[in-house]
Amino acid sequence: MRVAIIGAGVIGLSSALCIHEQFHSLVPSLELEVYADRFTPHTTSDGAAGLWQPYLSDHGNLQETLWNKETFDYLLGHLHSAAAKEMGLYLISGYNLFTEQAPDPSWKNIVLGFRHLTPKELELFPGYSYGWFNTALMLECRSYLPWLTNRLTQRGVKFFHKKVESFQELFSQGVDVVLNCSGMRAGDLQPDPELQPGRGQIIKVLAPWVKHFIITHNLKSGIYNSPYVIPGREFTVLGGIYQHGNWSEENSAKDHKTIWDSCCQLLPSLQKAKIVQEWSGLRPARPSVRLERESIRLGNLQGEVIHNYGHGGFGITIHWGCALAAARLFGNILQEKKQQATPPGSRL
Amino acid sequence: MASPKAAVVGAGVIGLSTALCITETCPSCSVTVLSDQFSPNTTSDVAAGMLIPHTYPDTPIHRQKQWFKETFTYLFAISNSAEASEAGIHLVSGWQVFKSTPKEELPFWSDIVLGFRPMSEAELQKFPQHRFGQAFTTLKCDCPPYLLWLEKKLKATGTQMYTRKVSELWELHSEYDIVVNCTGMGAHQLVGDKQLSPVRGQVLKVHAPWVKQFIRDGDGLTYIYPGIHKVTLGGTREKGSWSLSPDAGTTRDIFDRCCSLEPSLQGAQDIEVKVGLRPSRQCVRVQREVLSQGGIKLPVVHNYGHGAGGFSVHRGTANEAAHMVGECISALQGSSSRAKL
Repeated sequence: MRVAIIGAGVIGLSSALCIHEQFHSLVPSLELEVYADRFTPHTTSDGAAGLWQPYLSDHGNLQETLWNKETFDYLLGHLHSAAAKEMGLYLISGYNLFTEQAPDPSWKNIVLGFRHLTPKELELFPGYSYGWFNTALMLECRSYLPWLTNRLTQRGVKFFHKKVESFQELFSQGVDVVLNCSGMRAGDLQPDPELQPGRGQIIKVLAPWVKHFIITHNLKSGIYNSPYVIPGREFTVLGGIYQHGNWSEENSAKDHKTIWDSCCQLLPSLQKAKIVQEWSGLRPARPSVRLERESIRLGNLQGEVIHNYGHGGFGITIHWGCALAAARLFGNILQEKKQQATPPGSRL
Repeated sequence: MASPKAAVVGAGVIGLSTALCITETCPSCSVTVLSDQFSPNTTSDVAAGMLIPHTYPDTPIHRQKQWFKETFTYLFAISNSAEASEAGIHLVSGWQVFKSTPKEELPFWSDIVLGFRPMSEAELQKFPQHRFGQAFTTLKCDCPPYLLWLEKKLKATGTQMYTRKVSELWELHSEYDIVVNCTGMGAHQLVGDKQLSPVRGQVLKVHAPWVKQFIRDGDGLTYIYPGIHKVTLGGTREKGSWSLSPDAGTTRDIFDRCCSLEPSLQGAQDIEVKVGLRPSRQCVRVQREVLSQGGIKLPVVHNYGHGAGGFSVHRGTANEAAHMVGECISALQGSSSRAKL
């Protein structure tokens, strides 16, 4: 049973691991192959700061809230393990700031110690009159993706540096199931007008005195269009750009200035921070995550595709819940294949 | 007395901050700092510099609270400015955890730190051996940066600083009009204060930049304080021990205790071991005294004995000492003008 995973970002690699963990002992012939034209550190996931935090509202998408929770709980369970450092996983506390009162988020009971900010705390952030404090998790992909890659390699999963042009290409080679974790480029494999880039730009600085994340929100301009500061293990990420429909992966001087000025105003100590790197990437934005099966038939070629893409700016936040859901879909496929292999009546 | 000359003896956090406060409250005064040690070789350099007060049994609580509040307010403003990184001041959040519920659930300083509240059940799950905890946000002064920043500010006011071992305060009477005694543990010898005794503390300073939160056991013995570049792991409170040599068995013990609070510390690197003697006293001595020999008087202001709480109250006691210096100057000017009649 050959399973090909398209995409080696956080979604592709974690889905591959989840499926291998759950099924390798049940399916002796299981062979997993990862195909991607970009591997860490060049994936979209690598550009993310790595903070576990969903968007402010789940828009009634309770399934996504559940996947977020599953991811948080899974990571929290690994926090004290020996692997945590190698995974790039650690606890972090911080602030969400608003210029007006905002309803509590769907994830308030998932994170630890969620509370509203006191007036004295708000004195730290002139211009913001309301906010939250909570403890969440950081999962830095520049560590997590190599960790996933190592786990997969140990398990005999093969990697191919190749841009897959179509699902049929893989089916014609004898692949049985394709896991489509192609993120922003899913439209190249199958047109999806709902998938649009949410362009982001970030500045990485050296500011090791910053110990909290600070995310500001402008309810009118939309998510991530307001400054944010997220301290990593080595570098601190400054951001605040979300441009829907912009496909450019080039760094913009104008966006740099917006980020720098707004973050320094938010946190004056950043004025002394040394700039180390600049990066732009495309969040694979979609009204909801596409996580579903599709049977593809072309002539005498047939195969099953499990789509798992469109995680926008919350891929890391939701990844494990989606990997589990993809694994369940894979389980359904296996079940159906088993039933097809032993038709009723043949046992007589 | 056109320009009274004050000598501040001691260049730890108390000496330097007191000298700075004197330049602020008594601009006519010329200040000189004298010390046998400067950063990075002071007791303050060993301390983590966390703003979590120590309770002095014989100092009235309202006075301790006032000192803490002044210190917190002062540092809070710096942490939120462009100078924060140079001064080594930053905000840090975390938890104080207890194996059994403490008698005093609300310490006197709970309304001065930020966001103080009891920990939730979910948060306590991270600490299986502890059944109660408090979460809050406070400030940390990293040393050497904070001391170097104070030295820089002092130099900008024209304050001179000299390496010099003062054997007795009286030796300064011919060069200075007022002496300010911020000698910390040195006061035991210098002024023969038998109420002052060392409480030895050994700490580890390690590279573990993923540790972004402090964790402190309410018994005060085990703590993890993340600084700008290094995390301070502690510690010990050995009463009456004068030894400044690191002990290998203690190092192992501190590391094990901290790893049991924060398992990820197993991956810590670049472990440095340091020892400091907390200059401990039942109450902080912030007090005026007049030394006199053969008709000559030397006003002295004492500011020492901060024990485990030096950073937490330094600015408050420095302000109080500076005001006492102001009073000494007025007294001197009063008596000198009387002399002119």
